[in-house]
Amino acid sequence: MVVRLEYYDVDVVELQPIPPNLIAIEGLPDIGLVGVISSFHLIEKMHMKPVAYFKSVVMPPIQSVKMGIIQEPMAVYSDGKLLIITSEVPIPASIVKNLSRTIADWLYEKRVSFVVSINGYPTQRRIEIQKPEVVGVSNSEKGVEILKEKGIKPLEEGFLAGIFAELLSLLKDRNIDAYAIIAESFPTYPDPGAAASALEALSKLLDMKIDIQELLEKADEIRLNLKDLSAKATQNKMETIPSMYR
Amino acid sequence: MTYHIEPLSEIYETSDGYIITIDLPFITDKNQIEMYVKENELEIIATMNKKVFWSSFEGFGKRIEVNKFRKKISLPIKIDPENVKATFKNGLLIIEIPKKREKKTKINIS
Repeated sequence: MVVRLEYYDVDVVELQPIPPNLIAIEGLPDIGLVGVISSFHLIEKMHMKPVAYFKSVVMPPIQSVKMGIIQEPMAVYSDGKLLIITSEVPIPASIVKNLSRTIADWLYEKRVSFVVSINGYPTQRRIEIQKPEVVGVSNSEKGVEILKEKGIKPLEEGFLAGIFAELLSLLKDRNIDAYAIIAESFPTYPDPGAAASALEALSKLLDMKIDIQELLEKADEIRLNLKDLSAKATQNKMETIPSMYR
Repeated sequence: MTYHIEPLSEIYETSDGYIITIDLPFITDKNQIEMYVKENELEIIATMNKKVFWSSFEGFGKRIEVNKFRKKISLPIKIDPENVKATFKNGLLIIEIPKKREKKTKINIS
């Protein structure tokens, strides 16, 4: 059964029924591709299958192909417990607002229990850092208390920009608890080390074991294969940030 | 056939000069990297410790076998090779190029 739902310039195509109360993880391309690397690690380790995908007239006309079959590049994967939203292609700055609204409305409709975004924050001193630090942000006071209880330091002050920032706010409007896990990251380069730190924080938040050893062992391969996506994601991200905050 | 690809790089300008970083996965030792300077141009060639498969959007996702990174960077100043400092750490090449300190001449205002 395929269900097509139309939102703000973005269609969500569901490949199978999606049960309520799943935990949604957003790992779309952003700084250091921390969310993308984390998402694909979880998808692989937990043998997740695509359950839905996003399509938009304003997305670049790109399809990935595996074994002769097209694969939707911006897809939702699930193992029956988690719902992971990620993309193999960069998200154009022009679609960020509408895509965020689509994701928020769709997650509301699917009655997810809560949402976690995984991101990087750029730091020039990343070269000197062996193990990137992680901070957390929530869209509620209760969420901040949960972050503290789980041993994730809340971000005290700052500005957030991008899909995850928009999502935190839109999900608050829809009474859905949301968190962002943000790891220190290279500004432009794909950063598997930052993704490993983010996944450690995610494992604390979700009380689940996530093996990051394989991710660190494949770091060179990830850095090489995601270099173009990372460069484009950084460029798109800069276009979404007003110049006074760059 | 084995190809070379361009690595990701960043250039920061400071008041003292330029800092260039180059991301070099599959490079584990500084001896795998060669660096050349000519006028205002810097060329970096780095040989990976093994041949690896890589695909790009531009190549319609076709996987090619690569074993080298090659990158040419032009700066708006003439580079003095004697003053270029390069370090290799955690898979990143960091190059510091100082700006030549020009002596300032005071102009009297009449």
